[in-house]
Formats: sequence, structure tokens, C-alpha cells
Amino acid sequence: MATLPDVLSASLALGAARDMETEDRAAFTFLYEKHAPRIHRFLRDLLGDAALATDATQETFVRAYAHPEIVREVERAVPWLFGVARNVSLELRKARARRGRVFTEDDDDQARHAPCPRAQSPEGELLDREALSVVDGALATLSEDRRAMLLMALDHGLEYADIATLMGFSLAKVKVEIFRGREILRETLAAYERDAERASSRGGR
Amino acid sequence: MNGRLSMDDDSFERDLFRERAQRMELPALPSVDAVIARGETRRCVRAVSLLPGGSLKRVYRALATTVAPVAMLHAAAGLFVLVAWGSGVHGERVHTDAPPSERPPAISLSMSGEPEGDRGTCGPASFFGLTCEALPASMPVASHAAPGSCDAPLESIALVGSGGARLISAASVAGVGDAICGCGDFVTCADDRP
Repeated sequence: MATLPDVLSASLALGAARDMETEDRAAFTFLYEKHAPRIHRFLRDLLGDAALATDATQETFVRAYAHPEIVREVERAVPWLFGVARNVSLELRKARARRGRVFTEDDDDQARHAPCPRAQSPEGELLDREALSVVDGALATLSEDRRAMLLMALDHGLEYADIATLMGFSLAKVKVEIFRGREILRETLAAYERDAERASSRGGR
Repeated sequence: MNGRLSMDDDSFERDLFRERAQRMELPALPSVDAVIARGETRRCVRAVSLLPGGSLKRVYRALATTVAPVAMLHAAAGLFVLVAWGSGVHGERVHTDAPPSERPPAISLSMSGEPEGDRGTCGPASFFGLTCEALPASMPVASHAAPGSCDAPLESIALVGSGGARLISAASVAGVGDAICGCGDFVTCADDRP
């Protein structure tokens, strides 16, 4: 038969476990509400499909839910989440390839980019949207690894060292890959600018 | 944008991505409660998958400790909950062998129509012929009296149940499968998504 101290101790342990559970849920909720939109953006950029990115975002956080010890430490959790998200995207790509579906970029660029609040005219707004589509296009030309590294560093502000750990590459390789990605991005944007200038000078004649 | 690209100064690209992020529409993501419910489901399914097969008592214990709480979680997240026993031998044993006192709390189901469903030909139509009984009144339940009469939006249904391949394949074909909880000695699922 259980003694009173046994019962008290069991009850205290149960209370502590419940407190811990509540804290874990609060930490998870905070992480989800603060970071789910950017994880979604990252996944949409990797997968090229907003709806699939929504599923992948949910999957990423479902996996995170199984690791309360990581979720509790936000600084550690954020880069880790990006690593999980990338794994989920790779799995989805493989599954999609098995089903024979062709990878397509979102064709709804107009809906993806909200109207620019600072645009001075409808033409300026259109050009801004076009430029953002050019960025999307340039990203799509990068290899999956390079794109993931570039986005983690420049869009999401992860440290190069964290990216190296997540990707399983050396720091030097990460730096070189991101640098090459930037070169391609700039070349694409420069070509777009040149084309736009040519078009405007033809229109001005 | 012109000039030699610096390895250390990536402020142009960072600004570009910041601006791009500001202009993107916020996605409509699932609520955190729905994500937690799915996380709990997966945790439970893993636990149940580890249970060795065997006695009916063990099956009941698994049902009572996993399926019922998972159903409650989904209900709390505002999803319809369709609770289903598996078809076939497992389902028959649950329905016919157990005295009421041994049935799992909060859940009791029966197949309606299509007796074949109990014999192992359970497809989407007979699957949706399942009816739910004796669930708590507070739980929103998608109840379908006639085979194939499911009219709730599929994405709003959380499917929670026990059983094996037929239940899961039926759900898969029907496009349901937000949460599937298998248990007992007929478990064929290792994850909560078919």
C-alpha cells in the first residue's frame, strides 16, 4: 500500500510534469506564431508551390512538437527548424518525383506579391512586381542546395556557421555557394535592368 | 548593383529579400491548436505502434489511452471528428465481444448499412457509412447515417480510429486522413498519414 509521502511525492511529480507540459505548449505556440510565416516563405521558395509549402510548414512544426527540449530554446530552435523544413521539402520533392509530377513554379506571381505600398504609379507597381518575379526566377535557376543556403543566409538571417552545420558542409563551401548564388542573382537582375532600359528607350522614341 | 561583388558586403541582397518578404502575402496557415493536435496524434500513434499485439484487453487499453484523447484534442481544435473502428475481425471483436463496462470511455461506434464493410470490403462509401454513437455531446461529430453521405468538407474532418489497412486505404482514397490512430494487433500503419 502506498504511504502518504509516496502519494504526495507522486502528486508533486505529476504537478511538475503538468507545469512543464504547459510551458512546452507555450514555447511551441510562441515559436509557431512567430516563425511559421517565414518557414512557409522558405518552403515556398524551395518547393515553388504555396499550397505544398503550407503542408510542409505544418509537417515541419509537427516534427518540432516531438522535440520540446529544442523548442524551449528559441535561439537554437530557429536554425534547427530551417534544417527540418529543408528535410521535409526534400522528402516532398522525392515523393512528387515518384508520383511523376513535374516541378512547376507558382504561376500566380500576381497573387504572391502584394501591391507595393510605395509605388508611385500603376506602371511603377507593375515594374516592382516584375522585378520580384525576376528574383523568383533567378532563385529557381539555382541548385536546391545553393538556393537553400542563399535563402537561409540572406532572407532569413541565419549565421553561416549554423548553415554549415545544418547542411553538413564546410564553412568554406557554404561561403562559396552563397557567393555564387549572389552572383547569379545580380547577373539576372542586371540583365532585367538592361532589358527594361532598352524597352523604355524604344518607347521614348 | 554594378561593380565588383564583395564577399563580405551582402547588404544589397539582404535589403532585396527584406523588401520581397514585406510584399509577400501572409499565408493562411493552420491554427497552432490544429498543429498541436496533429503532433499529439503522431506521438500517440508511435506509442501505440510499439505495443505488442495480443489480448483484447491490451487493445482496449490502447484505445482508451490514445484514441479518445486524440479525438478530444481534434474536437478542441474545432475539427469535425469521425471516430471509426477498423473493419473486419478487429471491429467485430470490439463490437460483439466486449461487455459495455469494458468498452473504451467516450467512444462507441457501430457500422451502419453495408454489412459487407464488416467483412473486409470496406471502401470509401462504406467507410462514410460509419455512425458515431455515445460521443460526448460537446464534441462536434460528423455523423453519416447512409453510406457515401459525407457532406462535411473533407479537410475539416479529423479521422481517428483503430484498425488496419482497409480503414487507412479507405481514408486515403477518400482524401481524408488528417489523423489516423491505429492500435491493437492488427496495426499496419506506422505513421498518421497513409
